[in-house]
Amino acid sequence: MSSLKRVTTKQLGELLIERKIITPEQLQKALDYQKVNGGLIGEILVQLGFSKEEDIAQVLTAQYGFPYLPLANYDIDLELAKLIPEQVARQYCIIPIDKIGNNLTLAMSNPLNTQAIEDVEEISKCVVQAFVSTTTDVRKAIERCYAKK
Amino acid sequence: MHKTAKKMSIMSRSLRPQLVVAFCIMSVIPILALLYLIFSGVLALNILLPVLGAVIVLSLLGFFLMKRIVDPIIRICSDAKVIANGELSRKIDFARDDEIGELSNALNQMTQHIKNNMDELKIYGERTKDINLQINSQVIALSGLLEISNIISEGTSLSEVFDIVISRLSQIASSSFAFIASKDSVSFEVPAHYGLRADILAALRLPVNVYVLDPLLGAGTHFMNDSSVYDEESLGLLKLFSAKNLLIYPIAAQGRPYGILGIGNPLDGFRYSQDDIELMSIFAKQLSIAVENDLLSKKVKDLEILDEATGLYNRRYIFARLDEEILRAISHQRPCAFLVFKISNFIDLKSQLGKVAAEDVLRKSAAALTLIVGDIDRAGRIGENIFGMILPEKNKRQAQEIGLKLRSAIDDSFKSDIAAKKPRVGISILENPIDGSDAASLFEKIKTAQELTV
Repeated sequence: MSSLKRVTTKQLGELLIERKIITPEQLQKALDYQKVNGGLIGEILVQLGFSKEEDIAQVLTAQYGFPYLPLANYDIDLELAKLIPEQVARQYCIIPIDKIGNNLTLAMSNPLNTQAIEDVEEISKCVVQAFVSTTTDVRKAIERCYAKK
Repeated sequence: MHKTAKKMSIMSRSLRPQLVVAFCIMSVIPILALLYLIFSGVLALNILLPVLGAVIVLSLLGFFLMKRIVDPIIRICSDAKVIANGELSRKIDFARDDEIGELSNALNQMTQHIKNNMDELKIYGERTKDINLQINSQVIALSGLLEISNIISEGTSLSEVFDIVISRLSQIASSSFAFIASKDSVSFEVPAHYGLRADILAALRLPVNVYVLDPLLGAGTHFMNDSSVYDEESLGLLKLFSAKNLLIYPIAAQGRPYGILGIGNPLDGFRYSQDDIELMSIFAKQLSIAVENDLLSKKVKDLEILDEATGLYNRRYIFARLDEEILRAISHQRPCAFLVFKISNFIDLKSQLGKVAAEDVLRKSAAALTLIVGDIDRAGRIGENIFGMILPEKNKRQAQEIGLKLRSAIDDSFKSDIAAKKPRVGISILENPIDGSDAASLFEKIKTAQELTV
């Protein structure tokens, strides 16, 4: 597993409030929505229009030190994508973008998902280096890669 | 000697020889006496011929008079013998005013009386036979009703109830066929029948014939014979069954039509009795109860979530729950592991130690499994010798750790048992999303999943 270190125990919602991206009321609304409909809090905040995907990516980058990778214009190697089954990529919202030796670079919307990283390491037998991307960018990249298969 | 004497005696003979003897006495003896008187000169020759003529005439007259008496008696005797042999329609016909006429009339009256009595007895005999048959068929039907009530209350399978109802129906109301037809979405099925030809069975199952049978589902009794129906639908029904008489009752369960129960025959001039109609209604009601019970017991079975032998969740529950957990995992971008634990020597344990001991092993293994089940985990028996544990929010690595704990828990449980009683345990881990994106795909991979090595 990668040397992922969580530098704070604070939740994403709290970090967004601290950075004044959202208000506590908006967070509460998002949490209420999550209780009823399920889903990830970051995605719900974006869906409800309380924050932008880029804001969330920046918080993750600043708080945890994950590098941010805008995927919009990134050309992904299709052979590399084959390392991860499509259903795994879709469920964890991840896409492999580079492999040097035994190191696999992975763009993901939630780099705190250590179980996803473990699973990718189990499947690919590589050490994963996680990059942050927006959910939309990762999903578009997944569509581009796996649709072409 | 006695026989010869009897033969020689004129008294022992029948009337006809007696008539001959009487004629001889009346004619031959007087003639001989007359001739003796002539030849001895007592009578003059000139009166011989008139006297002889008179004697012959008188003799013949006497003979015919006697014959007139004797012949009818002989005929009456002969007719009486024929009547005595059972031909009661025979009449003794003597239109005479004398005693012989009266005798023949008396005999005729007596014969007629006997004949009337015999006819009456015959009618009574036939009626008794019919009543016996009716009583028998009603006894059979009633005992059938009792038997069916008993088997329904005992929870006998629906197909067995159907078979018994059909066998009882085949014994009532001159039925040449009896059937139960159930309606599925597009056509009728015949789960039980007696005497229906293969072509009729095939026709009943054709979706095109649904319109003929469909109206029977909602209505009450359908009682018909070909001489009393003229509408096209009923004639179509009789034609479908190649019958001239049909008695059909609907079967309903849980307020909805289920099918029909029917009997029929091809007899001319036949009519169902009120008893037949009532019996059929009871049979139909019994079937409705049986069908309803069956539906309810199926519902109860569907609602069961625990395995009887181990007390863990059953396969159906685990499958449904795994599907739910996978949906939750997909929604939260999380993994969901599924630990499969198999007792690979279960068949050997069963054959060597017996079913009870093998089930004990199952129970002990299940108990070991429950020791490591977390708050949000769910464990169940998903096959005869296979257990499954849903591990939400856990990936393969985390599930493998739990698998190792399970192995040691099982080892501890069977520590005191002899080697022959110990289960051989194989543990494998499946995970959503790596191995599949729903419960069906994970269950499919159970057989081929790689077992966890220590």
